[in-house]
This record gives sequence, C-alpha cells and structure tokens, in this order.
Amino acid sequence: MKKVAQISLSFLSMIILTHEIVSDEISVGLKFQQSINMYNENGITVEYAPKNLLNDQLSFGASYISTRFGSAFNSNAIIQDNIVLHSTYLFSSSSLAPLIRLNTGYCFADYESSLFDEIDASMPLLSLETGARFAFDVPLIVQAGIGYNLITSDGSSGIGTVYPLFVQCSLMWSFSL
Amino acid sequence: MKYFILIAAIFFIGCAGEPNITDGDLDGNVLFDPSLYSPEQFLISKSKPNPTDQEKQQPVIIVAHGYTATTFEWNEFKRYADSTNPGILVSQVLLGGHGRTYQDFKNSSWRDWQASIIDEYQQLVKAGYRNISFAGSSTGGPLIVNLFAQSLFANSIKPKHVFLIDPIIVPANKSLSMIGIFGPMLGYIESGEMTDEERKHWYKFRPQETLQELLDICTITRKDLESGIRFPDSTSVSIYKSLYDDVVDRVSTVMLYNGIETKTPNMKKVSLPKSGIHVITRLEGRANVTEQDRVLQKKVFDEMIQDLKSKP
Repeated sequence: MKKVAQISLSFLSMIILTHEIVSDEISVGLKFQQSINMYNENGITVEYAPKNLLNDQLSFGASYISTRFGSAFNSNAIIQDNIVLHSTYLFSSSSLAPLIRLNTGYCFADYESSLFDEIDASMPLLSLETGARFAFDVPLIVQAGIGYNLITSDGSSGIGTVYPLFVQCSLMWSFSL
Repeated sequence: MKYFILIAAIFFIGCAGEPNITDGDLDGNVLFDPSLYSPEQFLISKSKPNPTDQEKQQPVIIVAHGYTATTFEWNEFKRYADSTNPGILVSQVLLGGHGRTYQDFKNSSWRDWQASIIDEYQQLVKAGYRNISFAGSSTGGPLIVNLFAQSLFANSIKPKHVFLIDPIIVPANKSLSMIGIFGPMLGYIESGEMTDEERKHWYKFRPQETLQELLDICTITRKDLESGIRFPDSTSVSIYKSLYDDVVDRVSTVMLYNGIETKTPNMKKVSLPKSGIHVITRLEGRANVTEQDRVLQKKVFDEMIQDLKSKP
C-alpha cells in the first residue's frame, strides 16, 4: 500500500504542477476489462489531459477496476481490486487516434478464508497497452485497447489470476477545466 | 518478460515440424502403458467383475492421473494401500489418449481423457460396488470435478470421497492462456528435463491441440466453480496442494475450495504442504527426493486411507 501511496502522490503533484501552467481537460467514465481466459473486471477511470502538452496528445489517468463489478459479482470468483495509474500518448490530434499506454499499479485479492493466508494477496502491476481513441462531437470519448501484463504470477508468488493478455474499453465524458 | 521472449522465438521459428521421438520415449511406437496389455492388473472392474456381497461394500477408489502421465502416477499409492490396507481396492484408470502414441494423444480431447474415468465408474456400479471414491492428480482433478458439474451422479451411486492432489484450474505458467493464439505456430511443446523413468511413463512432447484441450477443461471447471458445484450430501472432498509447485498455481485451490459446496463445511478439507513437488503422491522416478518428501507422501496416503475407511 505504501508504494501505491507514493506513486499516487507523485502523480498528483505532477497534475497540480501542470495545471498551474495551462488549461486542461478531464475525462471521467467507466472501464470494462477482460483478461483473456480469466476474469472480467470493471470499474471507473479518470483521465487528465493538460492543454498543449505534446500537442494535447499526452494524458495521465487513474483507474479502479474490480471483479466485484465483473466476474465475482454474485459468483465464487476471487475478489480482486486493481488500482492503476496510466499515461497515454495519442499519435494524432484527430477524433480517431491510435494510442499507446503504460499502466502501473497494484492488485489486491481477497480469498475469503484464513486457510489461504500463505498465498500472496497483493502484487504490483505493470502493463503496456495499445489501442485507439475516438472522440465524438459531443464530449464523449471511447477508448479501446489490448494490453499485456509484464508481471504475472509464477504459481508460487503473486496473484495467480493476473493473466498476461487483456482487452479493455473505456467510455468517458470529458470536461474542460 | 519471458513471454515476450517466447513470442519473439515463435515468430522467428515459425511453424514447427513434427517432434523428434525416439524409441526411449513413451510418445513413440515401442513403449505403451501396461494397463493396455493387462487391464485386469489396474482396473477393479476387470480384476473383480463379480464381487461378493462383502466386496461390494469394500471401499473402491478410482484414481486418475494428470496430463501426459499414465497409470504409473498412482502405482505407489496402490502398492501402499495393498500392503497396509488390503480392504481398500485401488482402480487405476488410464486417461483416453494417454500411454499410447504421440498421434493418439494429439487426436484426443479432454472428453476422451475423462471417458476412461466415467467408464470405470459405470462398470463398478454395474458390477454392484456401492462404496466408490475418486482421486485425481493434476488434470485428473478438474476431470473428476467436472463429473459433479455435469450431474453424473444424480441418479447413481454417490461417491464417498474425492481427493484432489495438486489439481489444476490455473496453470503456474500463464502462457497457456495464449495457446489459442500461438499454439498453431508452435505445433508442440517439449517437456522440461525428465528422468529416464519419467520418459517411459510421461509423454515428452505436448501437441498444441492437447494444450488447448487442457486449457478448455480448466476454463470450463473454473466457470462451473464460479457458479458453484454442489456435491452430493454424502460426498466429502480433500484438496492437497504443494505451496511451491511450479506447474499448478496456488489459486486453483482457492477456486476449488470456494466453488465446491458440500453438505457441511467440515466435509471440505484443504492442506497446503510446503513442498515444491507437483503431485506430491508420486515420488518414484523423480531425480531428487528428500526424506521430507517421503514423510509427506506417507502422511497424505495415510489420511486418504483413513478417510476411505471412515464411512461404510
């Protein structure tokens, strides 16, 4: 948790610092993620795009997605919460733009029994993602991508349900600040 | 990072050809599982097809091995049970497609693997056996759990106990989840280092088609567990999972424990020994076995036998 707090603080400082220089855009929305051959995790995402930073093509964001709102809803799937910070680079300023993204964060699992106390219940996340963003005329943004988790469990450490490949889609409403 | 290297290697190598199988490998046309020649030495339905009234009440345990393995995997348990508890009958099934040739294995599906378990159970029921249990190691685990999900026992003799030894639901190596994408380019995957004994009893080469079947049965069972699999009121389950096993991920145990519903909570047991051995009940043929491994193996055997004898 300490690591997550440190990352969050650095990220927040960066946003505040940037905000003093330019006027910006913030997008808030829902994120839907499906790991290939594993869980479905959904949640919320927020993205901050500082004006004029790399031609408006670089943004920073944070997401919380969980199986609580996906596979584990009303089922025996393992409850896992992911807190992820991400930086996104758009390859164009047009309404349809390809993107790359770096995600980093932490995953926490709840095995719901003390029998499994010896199994790791948290692990760091680091993934690369590529996809595309489409901005409608109304301030609605759709982002979709395919990602690859660089850190996964080896069976004896970490959380075994963090799988390498995933696809995600985000629907966001944007506001000018 | 290792997956990136694997993916890069796949692209450079392109489509793999046929594996180089030697006569010393089970995969070839020379070595076969002995149960194919002498089924009566392995299957109770063949060795005792007409049980007496007393034998019908004896505990019979159908033991199923894992992916690429053979009846050899449960030999030690059978010998142990025979020598210490002659009242317990051990029936060693050979999964379909296993113990034969690479091509037979390549052409088999997980339903073929499971068919041997169903067939032996039905033969035993038909013969009049009433006290039947199951044990599955590694892939034998989901193959057995799936029988409950498909309600095989709804109108038949209910199993007494189910023992799951290092059962796989989630593999330790997560690249299996991408076999559908990269499998056709790979063709097959060669097993890691094997002893001479293991080469006689395990397939060395894993056709990508069978890895996809393995992924299928794992995924199907995981989803069934997420919905909940209700065991009959008289059936109990014991799960043994090595903590440092490099084949099966530890979360498999969590999924099984949370997903199997027994009549009472104490009919569901889980044990997580601090061992690095995959399938802790099989030590024969391994390169390095410690005294601690032997102690653990005996402990598991004793607990299984105690459970088998605990109910009429």
